[in-house]
Amino acid sequence: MVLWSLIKKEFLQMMRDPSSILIAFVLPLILLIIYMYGINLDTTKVKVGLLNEQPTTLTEGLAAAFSRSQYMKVVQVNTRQEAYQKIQDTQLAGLLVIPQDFEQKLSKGETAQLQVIVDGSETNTANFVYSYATTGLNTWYASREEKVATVQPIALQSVFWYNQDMNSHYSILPSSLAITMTLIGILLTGMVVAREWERGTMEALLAAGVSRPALVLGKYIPYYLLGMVSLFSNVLACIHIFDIPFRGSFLSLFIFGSFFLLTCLGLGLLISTKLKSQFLAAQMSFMIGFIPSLLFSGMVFPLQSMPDLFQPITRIIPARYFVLLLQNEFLVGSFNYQMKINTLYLSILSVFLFILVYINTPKKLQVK
Amino acid sequence: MLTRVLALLKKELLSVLKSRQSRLLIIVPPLMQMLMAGYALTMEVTHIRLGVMDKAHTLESRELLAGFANSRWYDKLIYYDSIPAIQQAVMDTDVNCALIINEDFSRNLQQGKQANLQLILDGRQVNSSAIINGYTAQIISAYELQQGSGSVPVSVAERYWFNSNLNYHWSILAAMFSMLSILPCLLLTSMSIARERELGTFEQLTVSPLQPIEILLGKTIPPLALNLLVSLVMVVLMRLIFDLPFAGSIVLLLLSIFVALLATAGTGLFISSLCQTQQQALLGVFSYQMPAVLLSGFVAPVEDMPVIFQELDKLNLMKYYVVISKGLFLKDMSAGAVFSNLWPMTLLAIVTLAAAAICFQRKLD
Repeated sequence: MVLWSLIKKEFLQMMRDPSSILIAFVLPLILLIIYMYGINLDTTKVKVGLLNEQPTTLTEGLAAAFSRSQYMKVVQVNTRQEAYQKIQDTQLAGLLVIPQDFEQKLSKGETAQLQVIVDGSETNTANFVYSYATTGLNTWYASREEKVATVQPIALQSVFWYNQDMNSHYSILPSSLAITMTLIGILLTGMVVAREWERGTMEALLAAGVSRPALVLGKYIPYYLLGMVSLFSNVLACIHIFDIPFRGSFLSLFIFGSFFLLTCLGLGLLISTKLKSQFLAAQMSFMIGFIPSLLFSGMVFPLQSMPDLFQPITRIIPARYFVLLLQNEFLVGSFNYQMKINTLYLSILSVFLFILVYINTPKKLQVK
Repeated sequence: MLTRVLALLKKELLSVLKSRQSRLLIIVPPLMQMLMAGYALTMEVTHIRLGVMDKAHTLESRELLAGFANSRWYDKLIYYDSIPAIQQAVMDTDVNCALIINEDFSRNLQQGKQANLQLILDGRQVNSSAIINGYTAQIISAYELQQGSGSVPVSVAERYWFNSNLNYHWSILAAMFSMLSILPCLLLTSMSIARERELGTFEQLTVSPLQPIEILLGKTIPPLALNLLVSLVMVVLMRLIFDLPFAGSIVLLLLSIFVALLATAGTGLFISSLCQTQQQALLGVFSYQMPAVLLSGFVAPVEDMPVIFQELDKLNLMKYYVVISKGLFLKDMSAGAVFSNLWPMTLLAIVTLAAAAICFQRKLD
């Protein structure tokens, strides 16, 4: 009965304070919109300069081929100095130079080199410019009329499993839901409980003789419900608004999502129960909850590239497994043995954290 | 006025620095995240595990595979003998990609026919997979060259300006600096007014002889000064530990950090003055900062965004600050280019600080 009133109180507070709704429903939707429409990793059209040191019919043809590229926006530059200036000021991502001896070498049967200079401070773009330039050059060469019949000895057929068109939205949008769950579980819940300690309302409850299970469950249940409603509304938004395929089952998503959310809630509650200050709880959950989930979950940075020292760290971070699960549920659709192991890990972790929260919640008012 | 502001400054500094936990939480997280960025975070795809199904088992296929084994990107080759086994391995990410060599690989090569190779990539990791696809194409063309069967009429000679070894950590550190150097300031300022209001001390401030502008100064200077200090430590550590070539002018960098912090403090205080509770303030700041970082150009270039996002981005402090940070750390950006990014930041600082001051004024009346 007491538990029921506590839960009711918590929901009333959620309704009263728009920030819970903001973090559970509005921010995730904004983020999904940004990921969907704002960030386009597929059709990046990079702006590069082109310097043709000795314009001839042949080199002009090559230059025209580059300007037809669907990946590059080619701008004529007249000197290397001009290009340097523009790359430095980030107006250009790189420079293609067709050197003076290009045609001469090609006609003599020597290797004609195209120089590609890229802005190394943008490592990813640098990589793309290099590969666009290479492909552009090769296609141009292959499509020349007077070309010698050359057969590429090895043909590479690349197949992208689970995502044939390599649509990056398919992997980014589902994994971004892990971030939302982390925010609700760790940050929001942490703040709410820390506030109760800061204001003394927690002590008031203790003084009123509310039992420990009621106190702990009274926080777990409302935020668990909020988190799950948020998760499923975002999943539905992904499927129906943003057209991301969903090949898995809602049941396994529900089970795994529950354990992940309970783990996050445990972490958030533990931090706030220990620190008892909103400011400290916010900083701490940001540092040990949010940042690691963002950086070490494999969502942004490839996990296998991390140094050996960090590998074990990435393995204990719950968000890593939730990102994998979300990608699996959306794109693969099978809940295999490995996912079962991960579920087991998260269930143990969430129970362990629950016990820690329970132990750290005082039984009765304490003398400081 | 001076004594009043000084008193408020002292109180603000004390409220941040009085407890050891709070001191640590201002200084440690940004430095720790910087160290993580420098050591662990990279967008470069390395340590790739390649699954192999070699149905040919010939000299040629082994030579081709040696090309992968010797490459610095690939860690190990794991052999499988059936498609289902490969399916399982890709799904469990035991391997990042898989190469299938058909029985007729060597026969086709020797007869001058086209030999097919199949590469299976993980569509869940679109970016990494696209990069691995590129690596594979490079290794295969190197193998063709080595076989002498592929002639090279044209080739590309690449050079990387401003980061000649294409050190991925440098680029990430320079971008992360812009985020980490303002984050504590944003958190501190956004919580400050909301906390006073929650504790009821804001009422006391309003009945004190302090003018709105004095409250603004008192609330801006301490977090700004603390953060400036932390940022400087970060610059020094980045130079010393990670050899980041500081190419630009230190004066311009200091000026940029200062303006960025001013604008951040303005934004934080403005959000804070709109909020009733610290919870609202923190979550409000989050709802502002996450989109700001995502749209800053750190993740994807601003020019590729739809027009509406580009227009909105003109109000985004991070967009300008990331450009300056990368420009000054790596590229010796010219003063003109720095200023063309600095004046919108200055404008943002003036507008947000003024908005915060107006909010105080209204609350006082």
